Amino acid sequence: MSERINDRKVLSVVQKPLELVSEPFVTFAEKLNTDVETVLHAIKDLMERGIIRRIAGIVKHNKAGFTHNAMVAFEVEDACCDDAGMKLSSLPFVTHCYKRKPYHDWPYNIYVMMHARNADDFDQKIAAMKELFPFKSVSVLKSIKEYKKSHFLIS
Amino acid sequence: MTDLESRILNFIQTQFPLVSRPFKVIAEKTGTTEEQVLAILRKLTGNGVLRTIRTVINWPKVGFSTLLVGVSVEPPFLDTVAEEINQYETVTHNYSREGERNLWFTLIYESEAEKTGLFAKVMSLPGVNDLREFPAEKTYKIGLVLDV
Repeated sequence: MSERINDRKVLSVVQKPLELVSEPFVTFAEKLNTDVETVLHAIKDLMERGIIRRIAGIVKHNKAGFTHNAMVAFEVEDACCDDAGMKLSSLPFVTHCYKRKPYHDWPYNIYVMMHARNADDFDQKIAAMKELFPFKSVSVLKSIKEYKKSHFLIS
Repeated sequence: MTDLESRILNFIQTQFPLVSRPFKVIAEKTGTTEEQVLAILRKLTGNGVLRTIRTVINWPKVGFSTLLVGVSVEPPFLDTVAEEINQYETVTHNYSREGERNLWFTLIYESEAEKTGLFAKVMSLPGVNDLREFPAEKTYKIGLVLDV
């Protein structure tokens, strides 16, 4: 358990946005009372163990020109889900793809988030997804308004 | 966006260098100077294209659960219900979408009590007709990368 507490302590610091300065990891090192090399090593270690997925720039899709976005939910035969999931994941405009729990009155089980630059681009991308694999039904849940997009912080 | 700005943005989405001076490495890879990379990233942050540069944590690996929740809200109540849900720090994304199930949010929680407490609150709000959870059974892609 001591390792877990230690992981959380490191995460509680390195989860913060990186400062746009020449040596951005210095702040983290100071907060953890250590040096930059140790911080970099700790991040790499957390990545190797799959606890940190990545360190990366997070782009705001609507500001980057992706104004037509949707969650698309497909109803796929259980045996075909992995095939559908992998094919959808290979598309660059699909950023997220999951298999989710279906309900009798909401039969969709494969969900993607997709992003397009305009109405034509959107229609083409939806059509391209529908060509990839067999499905029984589909619901295109176009984004209307973003009420919140934030970054969860552990304490 | 200029060609250089796109190159830098695409680079940092996929391979941020884990070294003491990462912006110097990015500059070398994209054919410019460290100062120029920092200036461009400050500009892209200022105009909202770049949200942040940060670690993306695999929450289930540190004891948290994540969940997609779909809510049916009578349209006149949509804004007020959304604002109430936004108050929770554990709610990270919240979007209105086309269709009868018109409000979708994602939740990160540590205990079942946190989740049931939030659900009870949402169900008590005027205009909320239904709430349903859509847990992920399999993750095929968490990309977060957009070719800009």
